[in-house]
Amino acid sequence: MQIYESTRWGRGWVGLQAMYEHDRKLADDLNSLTAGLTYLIRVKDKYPFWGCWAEKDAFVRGKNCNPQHYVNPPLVGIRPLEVMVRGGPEWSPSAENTATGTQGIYMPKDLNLVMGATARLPIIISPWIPWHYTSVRKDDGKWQKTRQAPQPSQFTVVPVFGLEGGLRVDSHPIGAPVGLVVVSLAPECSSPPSPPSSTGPTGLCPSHSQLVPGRLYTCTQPQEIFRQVAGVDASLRWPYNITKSFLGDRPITLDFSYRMRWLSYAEPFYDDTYAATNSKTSKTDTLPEGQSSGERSYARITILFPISAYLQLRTSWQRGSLPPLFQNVGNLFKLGLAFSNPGSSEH
Amino acid sequence: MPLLFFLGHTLLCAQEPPIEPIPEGALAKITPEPDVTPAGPAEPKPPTDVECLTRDILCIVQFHRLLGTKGEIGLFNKDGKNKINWSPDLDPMLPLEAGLIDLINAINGSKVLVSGSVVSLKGANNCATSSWSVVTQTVDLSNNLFYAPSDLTAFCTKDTLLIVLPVHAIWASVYRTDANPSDPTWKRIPAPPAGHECNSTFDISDPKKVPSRGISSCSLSSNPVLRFA
Repeated sequence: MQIYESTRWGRGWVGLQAMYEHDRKLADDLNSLTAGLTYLIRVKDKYPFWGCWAEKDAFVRGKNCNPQHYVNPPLVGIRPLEVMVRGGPEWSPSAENTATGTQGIYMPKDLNLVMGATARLPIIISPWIPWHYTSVRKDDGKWQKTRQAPQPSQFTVVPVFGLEGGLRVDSHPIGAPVGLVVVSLAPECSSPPSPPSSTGPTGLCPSHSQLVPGRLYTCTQPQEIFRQVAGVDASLRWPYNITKSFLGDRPITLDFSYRMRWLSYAEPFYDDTYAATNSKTSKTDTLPEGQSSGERSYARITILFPISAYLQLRTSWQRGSLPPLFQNVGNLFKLGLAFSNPGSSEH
Repeated sequence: MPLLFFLGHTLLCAQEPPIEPIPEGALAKITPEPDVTPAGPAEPKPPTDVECLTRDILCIVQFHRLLGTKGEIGLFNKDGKNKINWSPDLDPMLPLEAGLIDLINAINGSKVLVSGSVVSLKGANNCATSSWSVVTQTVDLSNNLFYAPSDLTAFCTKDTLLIVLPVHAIWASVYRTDANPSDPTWKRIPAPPAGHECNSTFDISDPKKVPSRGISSCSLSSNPVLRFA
């Protein structure tokens, strides 16, 4: 279930975002809740565009993108800069620990409090489509072929930059209950492996070069959370050309999102394909959870086929991982139906 | 009432300033509503000022069907703080503003139950045989909204397009594309409906009488949901 409600408050919009997933199955306990109170402000939102490149003109600002008389939509229009501040809890999902002897044991959930600020700059592109000719009737009754953009904003690119920070209210030890086992080291670490330990050290995981092969680690998570975020959203809209009579005039929409997060503090990750050796059984086993700092990426492509004003077919492909659990979704393909409103959202 | 009718008719038939038509084949890009310009301290304005209906190419008028006895219309204040100056009563302003009657009839002919806004676009050439779409920024949602032609409730008068939106629009960009007359489901955009009168005793046979021009829902008094909305 996903909720987003917002309303104008002061110079911006105050909103509430919440997403709850309930999907407990053998491999994953996807019960999770993320919610946030948001405040979005558009810098200089006096006009629809902060600036634009018209068809034959150089770059012009705000008011000149919207003269009193009708003009063609700008080839490239830059909407006002959007700055969103968000804060709220993250109750993360958890996954089953699949190491030998621990099947059926779900790793505990974490509760984080996170705040973030994100800046977006929507760039709207409405190019003339050479093959998209339409006819208009002139005042003298004659028909004339003209070129029209079939959609007000056919292509949208939105660069995104942001910072996220917070703290962990409740977190589980990484590697519990079987421990994080190190099976290989960087080449510079040539010390002989110590005997496997059934208890092992606890506390923050040592740096990679300090890990001892064969030793069992159960690491607590750092209390701090700080991430730098950059990415891009892109959207392409195209109306139904042939089946417009049956499927309406709402456009097919192709959405693309990409986010890269740079983690300043170690955060957990979960990857079913991560393999390690279980020191208890000396067998190669899947021990999918760990934690590290560094980079985490996420990409999603979604295609929306509006069937009516209230119903749309939605297909999506995802890859990468998202906070708070950073569970690697592999190549996840989804197909479903979604309810929609008559006024669809535009970037 | 006959005097009101006379004044209204006189003003409706008055010569309007020439308006440059929309170039054919061009998408329509409209000036945003100037009344949302954050231009310093708010200036005292008559709350019934909807002169933009005749003055501007694009005028966005807010309405609320449950306020007052007959509903109220208004404009955003210039201070940019989302305050709408509502008209205290619709009736006294009727003779003053040409185009207002069409606007009221358009609201009554829409499916908007409680409140929203009307985008009035003058000089809309080939209004009834075009497909219109709107991109708008509203106070109701932080996202920009795109309304396709089938999502819109639109009416055409002689040279004006009236689009009734179920949201309070801050600015709007209106786009025109050619309609597809070969589509069997295609229909011309209609004119606003005639005025209505909630009072069942209204004598429609008397041509000198005009409806009360309110935008309030006739079922307001009998509908408990609307009454407490």
